[in-house]
Amino acid sequence: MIRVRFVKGILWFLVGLAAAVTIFRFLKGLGTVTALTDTTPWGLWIGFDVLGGVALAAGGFVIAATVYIFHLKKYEPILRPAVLTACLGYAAVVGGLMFDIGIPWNIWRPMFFWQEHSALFEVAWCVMLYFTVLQLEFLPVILEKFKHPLSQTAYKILKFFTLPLVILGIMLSTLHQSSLGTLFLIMPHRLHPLWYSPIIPLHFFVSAIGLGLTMVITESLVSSWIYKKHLEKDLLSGLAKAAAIVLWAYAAIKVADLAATGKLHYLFAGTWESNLFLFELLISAILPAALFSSAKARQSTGGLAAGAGLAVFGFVLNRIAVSGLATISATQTDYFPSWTEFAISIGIVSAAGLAFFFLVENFYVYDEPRAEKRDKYEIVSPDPVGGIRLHWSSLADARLYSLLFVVALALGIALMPNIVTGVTPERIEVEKARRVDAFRSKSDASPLYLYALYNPDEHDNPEAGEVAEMLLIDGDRNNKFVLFDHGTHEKNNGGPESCGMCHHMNKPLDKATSCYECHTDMFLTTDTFQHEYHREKLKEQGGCVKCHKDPAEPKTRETATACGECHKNMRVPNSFVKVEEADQTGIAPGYMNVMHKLCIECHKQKQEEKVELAPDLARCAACHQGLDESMLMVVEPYPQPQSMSLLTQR
Amino acid sequence: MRQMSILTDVTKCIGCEECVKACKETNKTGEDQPWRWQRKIDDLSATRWTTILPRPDRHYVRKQCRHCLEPACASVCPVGAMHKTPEGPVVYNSKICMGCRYCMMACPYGIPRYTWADAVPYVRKCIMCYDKISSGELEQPACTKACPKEATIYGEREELIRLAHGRIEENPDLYIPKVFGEHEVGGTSVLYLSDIDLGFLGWKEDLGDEPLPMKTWVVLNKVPGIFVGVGVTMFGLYWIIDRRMRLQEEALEKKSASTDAQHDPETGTDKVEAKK
Repeated sequence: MIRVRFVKGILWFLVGLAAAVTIFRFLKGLGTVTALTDTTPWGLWIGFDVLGGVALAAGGFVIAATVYIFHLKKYEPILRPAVLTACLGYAAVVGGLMFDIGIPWNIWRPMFFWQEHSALFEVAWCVMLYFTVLQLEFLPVILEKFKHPLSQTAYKILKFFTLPLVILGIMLSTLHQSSLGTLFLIMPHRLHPLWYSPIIPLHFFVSAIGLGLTMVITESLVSSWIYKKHLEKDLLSGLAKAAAIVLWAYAAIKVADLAATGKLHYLFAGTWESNLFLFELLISAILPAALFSSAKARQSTGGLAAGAGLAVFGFVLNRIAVSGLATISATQTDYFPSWTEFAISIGIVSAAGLAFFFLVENFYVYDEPRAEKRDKYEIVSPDPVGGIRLHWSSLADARLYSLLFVVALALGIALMPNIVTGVTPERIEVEKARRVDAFRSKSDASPLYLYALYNPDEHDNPEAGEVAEMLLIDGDRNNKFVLFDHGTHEKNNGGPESCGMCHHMNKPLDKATSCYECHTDMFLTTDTFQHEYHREKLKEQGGCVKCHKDPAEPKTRETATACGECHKNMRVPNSFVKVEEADQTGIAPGYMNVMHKLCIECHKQKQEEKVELAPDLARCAACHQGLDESMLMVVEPYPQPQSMSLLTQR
Repeated sequence: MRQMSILTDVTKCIGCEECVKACKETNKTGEDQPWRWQRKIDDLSATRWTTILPRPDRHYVRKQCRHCLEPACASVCPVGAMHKTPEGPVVYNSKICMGCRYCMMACPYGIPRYTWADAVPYVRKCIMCYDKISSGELEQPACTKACPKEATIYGEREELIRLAHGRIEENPDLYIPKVFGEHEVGGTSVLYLSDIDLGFLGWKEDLGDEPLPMKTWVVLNKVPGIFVGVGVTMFGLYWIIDRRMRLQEEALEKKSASTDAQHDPETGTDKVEAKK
């Protein structure tokens, strides 16, 4: 059976890959192996493994109800595989949960800490109980193989309780299939209106029935392909007919619900959510329902495969959308699962697949032994556990599978990021500090340092001063730099331990916050021009055209007469702040450039006080005269961008 | 029990982040790190339980847990690890938490954060210094104590609401005439006064006044009824269908039996006798 060996080989490989991820999930935590964030705390594992898994396993209770409650005995041949699929599906759900929840060894807590207001509490109980019921429903298949009297007694007891178990299973399934939808009722703020609905539990329940039916079809098709087994097409087409009814009902409920809550306009809004919703509704319900409505398509393997495949894919997409995709517009956080998350999800499904193969090959899952047939399978050996015939056709199989498993395990470990450290904080790209050499002169006469851009020819005298490394800080990003003597600041503030004195106001996650991050207004231009005042004043002298001279030009600041043309005396002689005549149209640069005040005010005042402006304006003390001058330092005027090429950059 | 609350006046906040510093020191939350999972929306993180969000025109809005009167996080927790104390704060019991992160999904303000980097991760959020206040170590939360401008203050909820409305009346031109948190999602224990709209603090601009847990409860309280109903319906269906099929079978058997009975004497014995 090359086909079986091929499929099993792939599954063992995928399980091996998942095993590698498992190690890091439990050693290094969720952050290392998932792409989850604080704003998207649920991801693929909840969307696919849990929500999808539970829904995919719905075939169990649907077929059990068909056979036992509705007495459609002809479906009995697919009851056992359906129950087995459901049982393994729930095992996969529990397995997925063990990976997803942060503290899996606390998974039993809902049994003892009751909180009946939580939908998840109800889901936890129902899943727990139903998983138990499913195991009890399937257990006779295993017990019937053993000849031991104890096993036979247990078999008889379980068979006696078949009906109560089936009814209990239907009750529990109804509850938690819908309760998985109830989980999202509390998040109207998160879920997109197309998916959010007060009757979302009903959507989940109806779609679970549809999905259960189509999943049973899919499972039959796949196993008949793998084992080259006879396909019971008339049974499957019966299921497909039922599925068509359920899927039409589901589509109708969805659309009617949208209409009733006045959300139809979202459907064709053209956003990616509306397109996703339409796509999902089309492939999960409308296309398969239309396909299954045709008797011809139901009778053909291709039609069955296409319809069931579409529905299964569509409903899994629906569960993933509800738990994740449909929340993106609210949280504005995009999330794409990491490969490690895919590896776990696929690995769990593969493990369930391998368990399915094992049980199918060793127990009567497909052909229930009828009384006359039973002898054929009976093993003569008195050994009580001799009933199992292990289907290793040869040891070569086992060798192949374990080799693939180990190779995948090694590959997974090699691919894992952060093998030793686990996940590490991100690096923040900061602009590389730009530095320039300056000459700091020593002067006993002045308490202040004097700096000049370092020039080797001029500053070769160690007596006169020393070379200091200056940071070029362009706080307002206008290509004018302030030279900052970082070294001296560090020294004066107490050495390498003192960083916090200046950097304590760091924004979270920043390493060195730029000035403008806090001084947000430092580079805002300041309007010094009062238009209303000028209009009033100039009314007598020619009005608007006094400034806006050319009537053909738009009346803007750029085309108006510059302030200096009228206010001849506002220019300050000897100012190093060189302003082009035409630029001066009533806008002053931000406060960092003008020492916290509007230029003119300050310059005028200083002129009256007969203060020599040119060399001193770059000193804080020129204005801040009350301060202790020894704390203040003078720097050279801004190096202009064109002179920067002369500077030695490191 | 007096419901304690925090009132933050956005117009008074100067954004100095003293509250953030005090919170971090008091609760020993640890150093902020640029983790992959927390660089979106706001600066809250497992190590930063309150933060200042800068808004245009020199507005600084402190973000922290709202300590809702009917908290979604507490109502969804399947084990009750989150719960609303009678004193006001919503607190977290890490000992029984199983890490399902439903609280993080349900919170309309996106407050609870997770220690994703740890092998044993926990949920982290502001607990209004509940442990320190109930042990008597602190008179009021560290953040309100640290505020130099009394922009954020601690007090009894009713009194703070009265105070807030008083401020609005005194200064109707300054404030938006609304105490943020008085009614939203059923009311919160952290209230805001503001001159800008604070809708950005939630996932949605308008979260509505209905308490969120009610949305789940209207469905969940039907669960026992549905459970029993489904059981009874299923058993009823089984019984009816089973009885019908049995009656049908019996009718068939009777029919064939009676036709057999009629045929045998008439065709078999009569003819034989007639021949004789």
